[in-house]
Amino acid sequence: MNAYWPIVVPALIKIVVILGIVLTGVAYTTLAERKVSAWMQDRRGPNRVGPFGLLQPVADGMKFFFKEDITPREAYRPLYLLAPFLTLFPALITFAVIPFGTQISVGGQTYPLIIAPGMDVGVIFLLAVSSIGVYGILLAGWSSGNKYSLMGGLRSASQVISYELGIALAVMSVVLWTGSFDFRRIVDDQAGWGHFWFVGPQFLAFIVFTVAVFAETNRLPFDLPEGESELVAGYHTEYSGLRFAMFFMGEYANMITASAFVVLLFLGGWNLPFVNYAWFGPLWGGLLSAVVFFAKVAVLLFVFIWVRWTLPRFRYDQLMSLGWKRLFPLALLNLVLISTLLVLRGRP
Amino acid sequence: MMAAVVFFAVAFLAFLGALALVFHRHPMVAGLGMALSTLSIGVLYVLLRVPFLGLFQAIIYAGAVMVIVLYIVMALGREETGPRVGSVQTGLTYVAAALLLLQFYWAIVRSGAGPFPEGSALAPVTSGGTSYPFGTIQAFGSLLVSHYSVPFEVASLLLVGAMVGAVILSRRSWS
Repeated sequence: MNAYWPIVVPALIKIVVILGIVLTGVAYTTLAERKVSAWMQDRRGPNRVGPFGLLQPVADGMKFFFKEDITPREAYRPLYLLAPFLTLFPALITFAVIPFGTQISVGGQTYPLIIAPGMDVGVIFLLAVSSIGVYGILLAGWSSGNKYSLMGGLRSASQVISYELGIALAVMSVVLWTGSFDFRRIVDDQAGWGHFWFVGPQFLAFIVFTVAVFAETNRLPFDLPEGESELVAGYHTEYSGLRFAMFFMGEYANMITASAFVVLLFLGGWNLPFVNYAWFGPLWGGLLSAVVFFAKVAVLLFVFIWVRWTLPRFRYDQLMSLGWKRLFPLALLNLVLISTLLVLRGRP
Repeated sequence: MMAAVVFFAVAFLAFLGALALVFHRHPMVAGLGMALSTLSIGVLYVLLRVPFLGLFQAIIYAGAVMVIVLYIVMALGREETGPRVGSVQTGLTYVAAALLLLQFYWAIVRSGAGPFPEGSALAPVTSGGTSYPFGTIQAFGSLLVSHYSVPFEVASLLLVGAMVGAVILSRRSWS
C-alpha cells in the first residue's frame, strides 16, 4: 500500500486546491457578471453586502441554502432529483485533466501542476466529459413535467450536439498541428523563439472554437434554451433552492472550463512572450505560471460576460443555420487547409 | 488488486444498466441504463490499457448515440410504453437473447482466449518503419489506415447510405 502514498497525497492536495479555486471562481464570476453588467449599463450593481458588495456570493449561497426545495407534482421524481448532479459533476470532473501551470519542485520532488499528470489524451477526455454533460439538461427538461422545461431541454440538447461538431473539428486541427492529444505538449508547442500562440497560425479554428464554445455553454447570444421571453427559464424552470444552485454553478464552471480550453489550445496556456519560467527558480516559476494561466482564464471570462451584455439573442433557426451552414463548413475547410499546410511543410 | 476492484464495480454497473435497459418500462430510464452500460464498458477498455478507446466509447455511445435516442424519447412524450412483461413477444425476445448469449459463450470458449498475464508486454504495432507501443493512439491510428482501412471505408459507406436513407424518409414532399 505504501507505493500509493506518493501519488495519492499530492493528487488529493491538488484536487482540494483546484476545487477551491474553481468554486471561488464560480462564486466571483457570478458577482463579476452582475458588476460588469451594471458598469456597462451605468448602474452600480450589488453593493450592500460587505465592502463594494464583495460578500454578495456568500449571501446568494445562504439564500439558495434556505430556500424551499420544490418538486412539482407532475415531475418524474428519480430523474428530477438526479439531473442537477449530472450537470455539476461533469463540469467539475473536467478540471482533472486541465494543466494549470508548469511544475513546482519542493524538497527535491517535482510536482506537475495538473491533477492527473499521466493523462496523455486529456483533450479527448475533456471532449468526452463535456459530451456527457448534456444528460443533465436533457433529464432536467424531460423530468420536470412542464412544457417550457421540455422545450428548453430539447433546444439545449440539439444546440449542444450541433456545436460539438464545430468544437471537435477545431480541436482536431490543433491536434493535427502538434501531433498530440496532450495539453502539455500543445502548450509547449506555443512557447519559445519561432513559435506562436495558435491563435495566429490557427486563426480559423480559433474563431470556430470560440463561437461554438459560447453555444456549448448556453451563453448569450446563444442562450436559447433558457430564453426568458419564450421559455420562462428553460430546462431549470421548476428547480429551486440548492438544486437550482447546482445548475447555476454548473453553467459557470463550464464557462471556466471553456475559457481554460481556449487558453490552452490557442492563447499559449501559461506562456508569456519573452518570459522563461526557469528564471524564477523551481518554486516561484511554477507558481508564477499558474498565476499567468488563471489571469488569462479571467480575461476570457470577462469576454464571456462582455459579449453577454453586448449582443442580443439569436432566433432559434438562425442559431441552427449558423451552426450547420456556416461554422461546420468553415471548420471542415480549416481542417483541409491545415492538413494541406502540414503536407507541404512535411511532418517532423 | 486495485484493477480487480475497479473491474467488478464497473462490471456490476454495466450489468445494472443492461438490466434497466431490458426490464424498465420507462423508455427514458431504459435509455439511461444503456448509457450507463456503454460508459462502464468504456472504463473496461481503460482497464485493458487502451484509455483513449474508452474515451471514444464515451464520446460516441454515451455522448452521441444515446443522447440522440433520449432526445427522440423526449420528443415523443412521457408515456410508459412497450409490451407487458409475460406476453408472447417478450418471451420470444428472452429466448433469442439467451441463444445469442450461448453463442457468444461458445465462441469465446472455442477461441481459447484467456486473461492477459499480469505485466506482460503486448505486441507493439509496426508501421512505416516505426513501431508504436500497444494501446497508444498512434498504434491505433496506423492500424486503422493500413491494415483495417478497407473495413473502415466500407463502414463509412454504410453510414452514408443510412444517412441518405434517413433524409429521404424524413422528407415530406418532393417539391
